[in-house]
Amino acid sequence: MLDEMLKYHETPQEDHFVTGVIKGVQRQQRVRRLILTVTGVVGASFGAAGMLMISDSVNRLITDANVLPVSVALVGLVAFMAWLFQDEVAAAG
Amino acid sequence: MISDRALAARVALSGDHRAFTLLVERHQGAIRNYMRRLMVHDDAAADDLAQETFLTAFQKMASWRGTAKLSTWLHSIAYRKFLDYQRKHRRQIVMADFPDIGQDNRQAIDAEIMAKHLMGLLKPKDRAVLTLAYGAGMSHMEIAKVVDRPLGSVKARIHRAKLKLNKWLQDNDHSIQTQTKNKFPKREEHHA
Repeated sequence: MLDEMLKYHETPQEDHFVTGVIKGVQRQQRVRRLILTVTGVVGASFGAAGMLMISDSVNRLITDANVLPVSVALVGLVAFMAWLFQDEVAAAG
Repeated sequence: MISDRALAARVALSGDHRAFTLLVERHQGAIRNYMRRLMVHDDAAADDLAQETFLTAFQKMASWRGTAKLSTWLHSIAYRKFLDYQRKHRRQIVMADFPDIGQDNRQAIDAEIMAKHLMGLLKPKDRAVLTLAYGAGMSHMEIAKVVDRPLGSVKARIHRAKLKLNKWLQDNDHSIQTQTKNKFPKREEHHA
């Protein structure tokens, strides 16, 4: 008898609820992209400033050392970053 | 019909909004009902928590391994949302008193309102397991997964909660039981 009283007696099924959830998802993704963009820009700025500060040392390193290992390391770094952010690209689509 | 697993995979892999919309349409009834029973007297807050449940599900879809049903996983997220809400609003939550179910009002008692009042008699965790058992129709094993407690503890909690409600029904108004019994024919399914 109690189980009859406690079972669900109505089934809420409304489009506006679904719309609200999807809007929330889109808002979340916008905020996430904004955070990634801002932190990316800030990181790149600091990186560029740092590169300028040590550009003389880097110049010396590239001219003194073999260019090939440096290029390979650079390509490896780019590939790693692309792999790292791959899910972000997919989620945005 | 596309299975939950296939839709969830599309959401996890590519953030497919159409797939997620289908999942929300499919499960909104169960999750909103569950939240409404847990929140007892606040359907608006219950719907907000249900919405947060689906947002979290979207974010964490990749972590659903498929060992339990998607609905079980969604209920476990919902349960945690409810516990968080309770922790944050402990001081504000004031359970409404039971209305005086007078002779004149008896005919007007709606089954859902009655169920919510019964839920209001219970502690939140008892409310959660009893709703999963009798509202969502889950097995005790599934309930144990949702609330992340041992099976024995879940069974004991359900037993205690049922005793309390039955006692309240007997003490307060036997005619409510009779009326509800006539209104809702007994189900045949059993809960493990």
